[in-house]
Amino acid sequence: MALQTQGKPTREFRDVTAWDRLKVNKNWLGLWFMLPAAAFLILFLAYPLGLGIWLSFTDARLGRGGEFIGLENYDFLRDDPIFWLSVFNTLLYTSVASIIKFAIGLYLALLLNENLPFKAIIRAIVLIPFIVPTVLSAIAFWWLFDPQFSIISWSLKKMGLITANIDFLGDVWNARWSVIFANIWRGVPFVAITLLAGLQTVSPSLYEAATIDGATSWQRFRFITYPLLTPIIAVVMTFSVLFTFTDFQLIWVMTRGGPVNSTHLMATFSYQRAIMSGYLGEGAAISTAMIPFLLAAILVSWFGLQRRKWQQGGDND
Amino acid sequence: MRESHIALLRAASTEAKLLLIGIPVLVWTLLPIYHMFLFAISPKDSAFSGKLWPDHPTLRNFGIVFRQEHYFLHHFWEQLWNSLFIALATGALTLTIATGAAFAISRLKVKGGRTVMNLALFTYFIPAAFLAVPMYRTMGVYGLLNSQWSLIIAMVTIATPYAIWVLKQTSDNLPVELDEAAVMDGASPMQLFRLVYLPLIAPALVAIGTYAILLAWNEYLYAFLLLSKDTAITLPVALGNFLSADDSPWELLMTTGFVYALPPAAIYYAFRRYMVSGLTAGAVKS
Repeated sequence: MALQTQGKPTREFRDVTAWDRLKVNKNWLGLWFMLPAAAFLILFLAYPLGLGIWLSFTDARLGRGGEFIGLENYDFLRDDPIFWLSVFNTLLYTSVASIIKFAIGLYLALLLNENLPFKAIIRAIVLIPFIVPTVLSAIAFWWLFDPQFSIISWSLKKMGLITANIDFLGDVWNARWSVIFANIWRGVPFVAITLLAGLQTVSPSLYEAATIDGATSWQRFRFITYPLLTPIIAVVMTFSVLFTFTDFQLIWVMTRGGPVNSTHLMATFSYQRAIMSGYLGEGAAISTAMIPFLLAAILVSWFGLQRRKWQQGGDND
Repeated sequence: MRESHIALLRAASTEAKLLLIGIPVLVWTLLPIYHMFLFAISPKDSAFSGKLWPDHPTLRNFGIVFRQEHYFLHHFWEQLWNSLFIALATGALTLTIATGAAFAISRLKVKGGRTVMNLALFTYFIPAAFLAVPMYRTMGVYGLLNSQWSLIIAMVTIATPYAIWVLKQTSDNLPVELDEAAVMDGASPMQLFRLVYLPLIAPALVAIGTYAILLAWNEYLYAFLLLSKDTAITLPVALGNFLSADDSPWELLMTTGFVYALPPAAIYYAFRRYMVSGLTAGAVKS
């Protein structure tokens, strides 16, 4: 400090204000830089989060505060067949959609990683479902699944495979498969592009060495690509599962949970109870019931990332 | 000679693979989009004919939408503006907040910064649908319901943890020597931030800004939840409202939807170089 001020003696005559100290003191400045983020996260994330869990123990309704009622909401849900139906739907929706998304996404990523003609165009097209806003894709699918004018029914009829139109969204199981189909359509690009980014970090020299040693293409995938890709697969699948598990927009626009609650996911069911019927407490309890599943997803990803550490022998974050 | 033969065979096999995979992928991705486009350029009565290309393609639907000539479209321009305003405000706020936090954690090494970071990362696992109900209540508590700021704030809150994480990851990759050299030359932390840090992370800032803007532009759940007036809602909510009517004007719905989907597509393709490298920087760092 003394060294710096020697050249400018005038500095010594000015008092060091708090503002000056702030500008030079790293910790103070750091706090100020952190403040907006911290304020936002506390006011609009931590508070609603706590509130959500608290509400689930109250009988709050839309427009009026609630009293603490302990586990009554959860007791009520335990005997509610629609709640269990929504849990079943959510698990079915998540597991089927995630597995198929992973399979198609990985296949596309491997394909796009090769030197194909028109690669740039194919990649751009593969990305489209990801870029189209969810509401819009839901509307487009609503129309594809229309009982009267569906283009799928129309082409199948032209091919002579069916005689009557398929009631895609009106039948219990048809509706389930239809929304799963729409979710897969939307989710594949995310998996494919992220896995592709991971594939591109794998050094080509590894494949060359393996080819020289006479490895088949399946062996190259099994013993080079797959182990090196494991950490990113863990991350991608965690997010894919999370996004699918908590899906709301697609279902809400396409079916609103119907027919007869057969496509209600926990997220849409919670919304319906809390906002449409006004039982905030019960809706919050349904949301809170999602936490154990989400924690399971975090653990899976965490162990996936842990594995990466011992694989590479060093620590990386 | 032999080698070129093999190369040729391999090229033929990849081409066959391309056709085999490429065409279904093409049909699968483009069918819903193409269908929508077909509606947008068809006159009302021929939209249901099931043809691959309309007999009389027309841009009349776009004219009706732009002149707001239908009951569902009375506030089209206003709703488009709402979507735009909310998206841009979300982008700007997210960038400001996340850049500050990432700089403090990564470069100033603030005490407890890592803890905050990990907490922020944890919140990334809290899905929007879980927070929807309590967020509604919270906005009521703060008196922000039906104000567009409630949606902007909600979107910033959802975008921020991820933004901080990506930016922190990017700045960790910058060499410390740069900071040291700047400090040796007498730069204050403020100057370090403005003159060294910001220019260096500019590509990541583009990626994060785009991410936040697209997130807000595409949002339906919170927009639907927090805004209700016809003049305050965003375009996706308006599109959803179309569906509540029994005799939805499909061709207009699809036309509006088409207009709504164009800006994000344009933004995405313009910045996709930054998007893929920027957003996966954290995940695929070797």
